[in-house]
Amino acid sequence: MPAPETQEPKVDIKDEKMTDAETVQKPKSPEEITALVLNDIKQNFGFLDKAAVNFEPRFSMRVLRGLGNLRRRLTPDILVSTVDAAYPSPSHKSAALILKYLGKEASTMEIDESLSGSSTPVVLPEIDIYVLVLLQVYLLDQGDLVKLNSFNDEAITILRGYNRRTLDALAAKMWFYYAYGKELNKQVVELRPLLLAVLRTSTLRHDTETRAMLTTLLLRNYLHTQAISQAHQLVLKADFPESAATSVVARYLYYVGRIKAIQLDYSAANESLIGAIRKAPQTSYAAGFLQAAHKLKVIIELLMGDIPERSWFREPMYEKALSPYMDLVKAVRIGEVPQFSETIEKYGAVFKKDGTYMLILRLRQNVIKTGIRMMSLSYSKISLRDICIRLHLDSEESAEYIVAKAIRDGVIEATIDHEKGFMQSKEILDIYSTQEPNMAFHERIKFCISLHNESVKAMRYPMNQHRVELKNVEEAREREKELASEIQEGDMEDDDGDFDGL
Amino acid sequence: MPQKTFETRARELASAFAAKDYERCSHLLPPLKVTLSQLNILVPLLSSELELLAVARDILEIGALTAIFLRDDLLFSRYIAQLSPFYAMKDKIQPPSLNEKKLIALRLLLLLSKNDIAEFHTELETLEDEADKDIYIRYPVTLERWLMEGSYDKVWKATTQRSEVPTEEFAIFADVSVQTVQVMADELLVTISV
Repeated sequence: MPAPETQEPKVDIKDEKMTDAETVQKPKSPEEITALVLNDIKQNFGFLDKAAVNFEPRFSMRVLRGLGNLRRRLTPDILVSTVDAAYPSPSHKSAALILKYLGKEASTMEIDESLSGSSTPVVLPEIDIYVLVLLQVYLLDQGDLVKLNSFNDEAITILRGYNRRTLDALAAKMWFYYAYGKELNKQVVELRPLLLAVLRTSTLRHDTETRAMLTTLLLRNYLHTQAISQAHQLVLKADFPESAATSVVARYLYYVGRIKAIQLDYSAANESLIGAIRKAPQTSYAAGFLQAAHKLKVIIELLMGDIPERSWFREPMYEKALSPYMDLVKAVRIGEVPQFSETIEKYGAVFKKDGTYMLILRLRQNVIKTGIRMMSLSYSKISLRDICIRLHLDSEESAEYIVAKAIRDGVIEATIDHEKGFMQSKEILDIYSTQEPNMAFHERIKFCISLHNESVKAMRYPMNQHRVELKNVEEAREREKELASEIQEGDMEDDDGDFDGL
Repeated sequence: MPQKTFETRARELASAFAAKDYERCSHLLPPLKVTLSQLNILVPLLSSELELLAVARDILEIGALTAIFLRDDLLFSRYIAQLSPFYAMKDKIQPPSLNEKKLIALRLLLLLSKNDIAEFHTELETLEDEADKDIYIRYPVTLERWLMEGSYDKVWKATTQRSEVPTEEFAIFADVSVQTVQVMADELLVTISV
C-alpha cells in the first residue's frame, strides 16, 4: 500500500540538505541552535496555554503545523530541557516516563525538585500531551520501534485519562503516531478493536478531530490488510466530520478514492482523488502523499478512458516517482497491447509496491479499446483480419466480438459486416451537436458551486464577537438619535430662516 | 461426552463426502454446525483451541463443496462467509487448508456468473500475488479478462470444453456462466444487426 508516511524519509533527506545549505550561509553553534529550538517550544507552550484558556483550536493547530519543522531539530538534550520547562518536578508521571525513555536519570533536576517540592502545581494537559507527542516523534525518527511501541502504550494511557475538548487536535496527532508505530511493529489487526472503541468514544464526545483521525486510521488499517469490504462498510456507516483539519480530510478522501477504484466506481474515485490532491498541503512535507495520490489518479483516469495531462509528469516533485506511470500512459495512449504488457512486466514490482498492480491489470481492455478507436478514426473501412493483426489478437472471431462490444459500449461509431468480414466506421459527428459540451459545462459548474459552498462553510466567526458588534450598534443608534434630534432642531431653524428669506 | 461423538460424526461426514454421497452430507451438516457453535469454534477466536479450529474449518469446507454439488448458491455463499475468518488467521491454524484456493476461486466464479464485477474485484484485491500463479484462481481471473475485453469465443471455449475446466466443481458454475455469456453475446448481435 502506498502509505503517505512511507515516503517521508525521502522528503526528510531533501529537507536536511536544505537546512545544511542554510547552516553554511550563517553558521551557528550547537548551543545557539538548542537555545533557538527550546525558545520555539516554549513559545508553543504559550500558544497551547492561549488555546486552552480562550477555547480557540486555531492556536493548537498552529503549534501542530510547526511540528514537522521542529521534528528534525530534536535532540535528547533539548527534550530533557523541555521536560524541565514543562513539568514542575521530574517526579511528575509524564516527566518520569519521558526521562526513562530518553535514558536520562532525573539527576540534573534535583534542585528543581527541592524548590517546587512543597507545592504541586498542575501541568496543563495540553502541554503534557504536546511534550509526549514530541517524544513520540523523536523515538519514531530514531527508528527504535520496540521502544516507540512501549512508550506509545504508556502515552496513550495518559491521554485517555484526559477529557478536554481543547485537547482534541493534539490527541488526534498522538493517535496518529500511535497507530503508525503499531503498523511499523506489524500489529495491524490487533489494533482494530482499540481504534473502533476510541472512535465510538470520540463520536459521543463530539470530538471532531479525533473522530476524523480515527476514521482515516481505521481505513488505512483495513486497506493495509486488503480488507476492502470492511473499509467500504466503515465509509458507508461512519459519518466523516466535514469540519476536520484539511490534511486529515485529504487523507480520508484518498482512502475513499482507493476503495471506490477497487469497486469499479471510477468517476466517484476520481472525484475523491481530485479533492484529496487539492486539499493536501502543497509543500515538500506532503510530497509522499501527493505522489501516491497522483499515481492512483493516473490509473483511474486511464480506466475511465481519459489520458492524464502530460504537464503533471514534468513537475519536479513527481517526475521521478511517476516515470513508470508515464510509460504506462504512453502504451495505453497508442493502444499497443505488447508495449502495455512489456511495461507491466518491467515495472511490475514497482506497481505492486504502490498497490496499483491489480488496477493496472484491468487496463488491458482499455488498451484494446483505444486501439480499436484509433483504427476506426484512421480507416473508414478495415477488415477484421487487419484488426486482428494490428491488435495482436488470436483470431478473427475474437476480433469480431471485441469490435462488437466496443460498438455496444459506445467506444466507436461503426458497423460490422459479418458476411464480408470488415468494420465500417460511421462519419464522425459534430461534437457540438451532442450532449458532450453540456456535460462538460455541468461538471465545471458543479465544481464551482461546491467550491463556493465550501468557502462559505470555512468562514470563521470569532467567539463573542457579536457582543462587541451589538455594543457598537447600540452606540451607533444613540449617535443616530442625537443626530436626528440635531437635524430636527436645525430644520426648524432653517425653516425659520427660509421664512425670513421670503 | 459431546467431544467424542463430535469427532466420530466429523469423520462420518468426511467419509460420506469422499463417497460423493452429497445428500447424506447435507443431512449430517446442520447438527454438526450446532455442535460447532456449542463448542464455541464456529467463529474462530484467538483464544480457541487451534486443533479444533482445523476440524471446524474442514467441516465448513465440506459444507461449501456439498453446496456446490447440490447447486445451492446461497448456501455456498453462507459457508464461504463463515470460512473467511478461518482463512484470515490461516497462519495460526495447522495443518493448512488444501481447499482454500479452490473455494476462493469458486466464489470468484460465482460472482462472475452473477455479473457482480465490483464484488469480484474487491475479492480479487485480497489475493494480489496469487492471481496469476494459482491454477484455480487463474481460471476465473482469465475468464473475467476475456469477458471484459469481449473475447466471447474464448470464454465459450474455456467454459464448454471439459479439458479447460480445472475440476468438476468448476464445471457446475461454468455452466451458469455459459448461459450468461450466451445471453450477452446474443444481445450484442441483436444490437449490432439493428
